[in-house]
Amino acid sequence: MTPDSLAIFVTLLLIAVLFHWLPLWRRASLWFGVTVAPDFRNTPQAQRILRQYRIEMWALSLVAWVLLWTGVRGETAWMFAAAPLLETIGAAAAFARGRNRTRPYAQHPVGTRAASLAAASEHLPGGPIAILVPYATLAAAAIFLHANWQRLPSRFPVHWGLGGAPDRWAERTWRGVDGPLLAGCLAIALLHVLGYMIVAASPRARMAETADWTARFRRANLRMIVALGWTLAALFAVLALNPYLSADGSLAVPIWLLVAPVLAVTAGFIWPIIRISQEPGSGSDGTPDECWKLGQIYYNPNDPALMVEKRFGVGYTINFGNRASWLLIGLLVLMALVPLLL
Amino acid sequence: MTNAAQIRIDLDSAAPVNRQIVDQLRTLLVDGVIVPDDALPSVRRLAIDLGVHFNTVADAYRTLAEEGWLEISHGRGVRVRQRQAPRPDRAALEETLASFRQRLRQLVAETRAQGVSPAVVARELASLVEVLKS
Repeated sequence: MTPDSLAIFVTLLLIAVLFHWLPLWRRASLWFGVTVAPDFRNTPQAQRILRQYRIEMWALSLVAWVLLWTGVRGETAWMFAAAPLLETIGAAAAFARGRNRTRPYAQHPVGTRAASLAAASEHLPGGPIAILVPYATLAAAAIFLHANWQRLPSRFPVHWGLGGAPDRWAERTWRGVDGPLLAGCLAIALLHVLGYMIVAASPRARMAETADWTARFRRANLRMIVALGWTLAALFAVLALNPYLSADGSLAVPIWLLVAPVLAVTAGFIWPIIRISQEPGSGSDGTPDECWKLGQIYYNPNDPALMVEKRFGVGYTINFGNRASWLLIGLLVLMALVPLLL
Repeated sequence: MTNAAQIRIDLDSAAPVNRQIVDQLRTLLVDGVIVPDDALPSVRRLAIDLGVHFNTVADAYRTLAEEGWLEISHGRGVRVRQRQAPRPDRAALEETLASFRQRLRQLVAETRAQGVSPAVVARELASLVEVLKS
């Protein structure tokens, strides 16, 4: 088995473990995307629904592993991509079935909504400096590379397999040298756009009883976005500097040392979000159940919010019923395409 | 402005949402919970937080601006104004009081129709009188 296929196997396992726990990382009054009584999750019915979801989810993960194994043996490249896709779609389908099983226990959410008039205006944590540092890091790397232009090799690797062997090369042109920095810049900008949308266009707290919980949940999410921006800046700066640091084209920094900080920061900042989700008294999110398609896609043209808390997964999702959501999606797709077009 | 400054709306209520917002904001203004020069959330912010249409909040703010409570400007957002209490003439005062009595009777009748005893209603009115006197 090659290091690449081994990495995909490990990734599939991690995804399966994640999906195993994901339905529990929600507000107390939400169960499989349905508004229920706060103590419903402890009832035998709720546990049975969770068990059925997990059986279906693991069964489909097993099929994904078989698919991947077949692909590895037969060197069929498309199976490498199909396996994680099948696992993800399988978990989503199992969740949707869990939602259907939960529906008979749904409770009409309390119609009372509340908004504070005194709440201070919200910003991304750390203020403008925390936002600008990642871009400044990438800019500093670019200035350094251009100042040492002649010391860069005329041809150098820009992509490596998981075994550390280079598999894509670039020439010493502005595209080749600055490409990773630009890609990093766009990835960070994408994160910041999402962060700004959460601040500006998601409800701060619709239920007065859970306002404090919601505020802490929001802060934890925004902190993760800012921290990921810094981590990505460091990662892309190191990658861009590699032609200068490594004369033979190998990775100057071991690959595990590149991947580990990203995973560590993500896990370190997701953990508080999960902890907050586990707290009692978090209530419901104030969005109507009937607007959640398959329990995961929020479509509510009557809700002016552009972003709302996810009901399956960590963080926020888009309100597809808001016309501005299509502009946001277009912008995100455009930003994701730019590195490919370069 | 204190943390008590909060708007609560009931989507299941028969009263329109913009009316609920107007009534509650006016109560907060009269009670002095919101005072002149306080900034209120923008139309967009309050609509997103409450999950109601922008126009609903804009209508409510406009109504209160017409009553002289709020000042809406593009640059400064929505602010509470120093409002001079109107000095109605005798006829207008009588008309206002007649309307007040009628609405109060309707409210008492509605409350009693929901099973609240006259004694409890009287106690509530008495506590309201105490608040007004203080």
